[in-house]
Order: sequence, then C-alpha cells, then structure tokens
Amino acid sequence: MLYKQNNELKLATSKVVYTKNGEQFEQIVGEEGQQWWLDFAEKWEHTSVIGFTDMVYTDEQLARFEEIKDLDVADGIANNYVMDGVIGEGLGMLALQKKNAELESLLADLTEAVLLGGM
Amino acid sequence: MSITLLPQKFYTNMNRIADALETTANNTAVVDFSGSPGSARLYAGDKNAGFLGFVPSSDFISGTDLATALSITDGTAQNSTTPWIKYIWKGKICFTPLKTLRYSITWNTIYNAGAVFASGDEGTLPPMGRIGTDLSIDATDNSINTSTQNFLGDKSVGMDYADAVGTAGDTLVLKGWSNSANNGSFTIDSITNTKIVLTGGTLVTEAGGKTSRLYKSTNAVTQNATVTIGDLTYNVRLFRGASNNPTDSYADSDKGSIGVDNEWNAIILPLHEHAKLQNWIYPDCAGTTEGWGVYLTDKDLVTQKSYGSGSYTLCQDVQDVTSWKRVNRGRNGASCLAAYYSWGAASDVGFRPVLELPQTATL
Repeated sequence: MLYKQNNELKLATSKVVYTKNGEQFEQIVGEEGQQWWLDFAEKWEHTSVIGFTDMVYTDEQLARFEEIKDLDVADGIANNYVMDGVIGEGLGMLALQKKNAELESLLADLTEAVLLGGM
Repeated sequence: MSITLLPQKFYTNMNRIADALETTANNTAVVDFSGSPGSARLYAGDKNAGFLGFVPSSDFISGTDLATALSITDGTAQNSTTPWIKYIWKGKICFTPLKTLRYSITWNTIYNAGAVFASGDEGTLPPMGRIGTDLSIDATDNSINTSTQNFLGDKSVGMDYADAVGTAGDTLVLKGWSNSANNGSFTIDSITNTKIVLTGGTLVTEAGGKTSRLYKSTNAVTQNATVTIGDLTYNVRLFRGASNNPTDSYADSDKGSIGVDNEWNAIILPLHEHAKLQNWIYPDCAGTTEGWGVYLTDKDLVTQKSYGSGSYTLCQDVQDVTSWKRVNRGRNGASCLAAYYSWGAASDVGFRPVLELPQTATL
C-alpha cells in the first residue's frame, strides 16, 4: 500500500492492528508513524494497539513501485498499479513505454533470426 | 564577474515602493484581537469574508495532532504539516488547512467525533436520517411516508446507495414539523422502504417542509468538538459548501450553491487563481466571486483528483434530493459541487476541517 509524505510516494512498511470500543481494526501506518498510534492509545481509553505487522511486497510490486515512484500521478492510480498492475489514468505513457520495449525486444529477436538465416 | 551600479534614483524608488507596501500592510484593518497565530490584519476582503494570510502548522497544529485531539483514527493521514489558511467568516476568525488532512474518511466518522457543525446540538441531520419535502405524515395509520427517500436502504446501487433509517423497536426523533404533535420521540412499530408506522404518540397529517426530518435517536451526537492550541480553544467543524443546509434545489443548475451563506464560495474561491478571470470550471456553482490576488491553484489546494487523494472536501450540508448524501467541494476543480453518501469512504473524500474561534470582530 502506498501513501504520500511531503509529496513523495512511499510504500507503507507496517500495519497497525488495534481495537476501538471493543471492535478490531487493521490499518496501514502512513505518515503518522507507529509512535502516533501508541500515543493515541495512551490518550484514549477506548483504543488499544494490539500490535504492528510488517508489510510484505512481491518482487513485481517492488519493481512497479520503482517504475512509478517519481511520476506525478494520483495516489489511488499509483496504488492500483503497484499493488495489482492496473494501468489507470495518467499511466498511459508508462504502458506505451513498456509496449515499446517489448516490440524492440521482438524486433531484435526477429532481426537476429533473419540475419542468421533462421539458425 | 562585474558589478553594475544603478543610478541613485533606482535605489530611491525601490525604497519608496518598499515603504509604500509596508504602509499599505499596516493600514489594513486589524480584525483579530484573540492573539491567535498569524497576522491580525486583513489582507483582502472584509470582516464578513476576508483573508488574513497563512500560518505554518508548526505555529498552529499538525494534522496528526488534530486527529488525536478529535479521537479520529479512520481514514489515512496526509499533509500533516500543510500550512493553515487564516480567514474571517461572519466575524469569526477561522483556520483551515491548505490541503486535506485525511482521506478515505466518512462524513459519519467526523459527525461521530462531534466535528461537523459546531452547533452545540445534534446538527441539521445525524447519519441515516431523512429530511425534506418528500416526507409526509399520515394520521390515518400514524405513519411517516416517502416516495424517494428509501427508508430501508441497503447501500446498494438499486437503493441509490441509501442506508437504512432503523428497525422496528428503534426510537425515532421527529423534528422541524409545523404541527408540534409531530415533533418528539416515537418508536418504530413497523418499517418498509416507503412507510414507517410509529407508536408512542399521535401524529397529525402534514406534508413535510424543507427541514422536516427524522433520525434514529442513538445516531445523534452533540456537535461540540473543540481543540485547545496554546491558550485558545477552537470549535472544530466542516465548511459550509452550499448556501442552504439542506441544499435548496440541488437539482437546479447551481445545485443550491449560490447564496450568502456559502462559506466555500466566499473564502476558498477568492483565493483561487480562477478568481481573477472568473473562468471557473463550474461557473454555475461558483457564481461571481471576489478575487483576492492570492492565485492558489487546484494543485496547491488539492481540489482536483489528479493532484492527490482527498480532493473532495466534505462539507456540512445535507443534499435535499437524496438526504443520505452530503455536499462535497472539489475533486474536479475548486468550484465543483457534488454530493456523496455520508457513509462512503472513497479515497477521493477528504477531511479539511475548520477551526473557529468565537466571535472575534464586530461586523
């Protein structure tokens, strides 16, 4: 999951599990940081922090994050792309670049095959 | 490297300009006598609607500290250190963040924190309530009726995302009816999507007015959230995003936006770059605004969805056509006015609170 801090896209590194008025919730820890949750629970009796869990990302998700982290796209669009590979509004150029790279690779293979006479 | 010496006249003129600017600034009216952070003088506008400048969050409060004070964990924190816009609205000094402080947060969450109306009572309409002229009371079966307000909404598309008013046995509060016998607490005997039969009192036949309303008693929360910063205590509320609450004629082209009580139009729009040429994306909703020469952009304010989450600022106002929706401003530019379900937590929905001091200027 992504969040923005000082206009910079970041990958959330942990989730908080907490109870509020007896009901259990799970939420990513964003720019507020883990300490905020601990301070919050100390101030408000109705809330208890059960613990924090690390977020685990696949290599593909990490690679997609690297691709888009410096692009100026809406957080939701960026999140959908990193987590699920969904190419949304504003990521059209990225899709074209990828297609172009695929075509270049295909062309290189084809050229090689032609030059080597199909060997 | 060479140094160019300009004629003495140049330096004399620059000093005169600087002196003139300083004099102008010092001649604007002092409107804030509270000692709150930032300028006490009007930069633009007047005591009814005016701009006093920006205040860094380090001199005021951060978004995360405010969330702690309000006991809000729902949604996702963002822009915690964004500057605050200091302004005056109907004689009260107010502060609102330049960008929204949380997203994926519901209107209901903010209501339950007592931070929507700053009214000291339950406000215009608690969550899951219904209001307006489509309601009517029928004395023959002691019922309240509707044709469009979906009393038994299940938040599905088929129900236009309406929520449910309540279930049999719940206590229902009726307010804003002309006949006093129709105002008070009643018990739901039975409920369908178009009719609620009540016990606990005898109703009188009456057609609903604009503020005739009903809501489940346990959903009402006193709207009195405050936060203390330094020596001052501020009421916390949302913007008025329309001119009437509930909106008057949302189905019209201006969606009920135009009018003297629309705080968003009176404060945020004059700060926007489109105020100079009045080239609003939604001119019907913006009307004619002042221009205060500040030229904030939709990117500065995050009032356009492509600039980030929470671009849709939650406001107080209930939408009159479908009263489970609340007015939002932004998302497609600052002038945009739309409405969203009070229970909805889309990532576009943002929390941009107003922190308001009691009356601080004489109008």
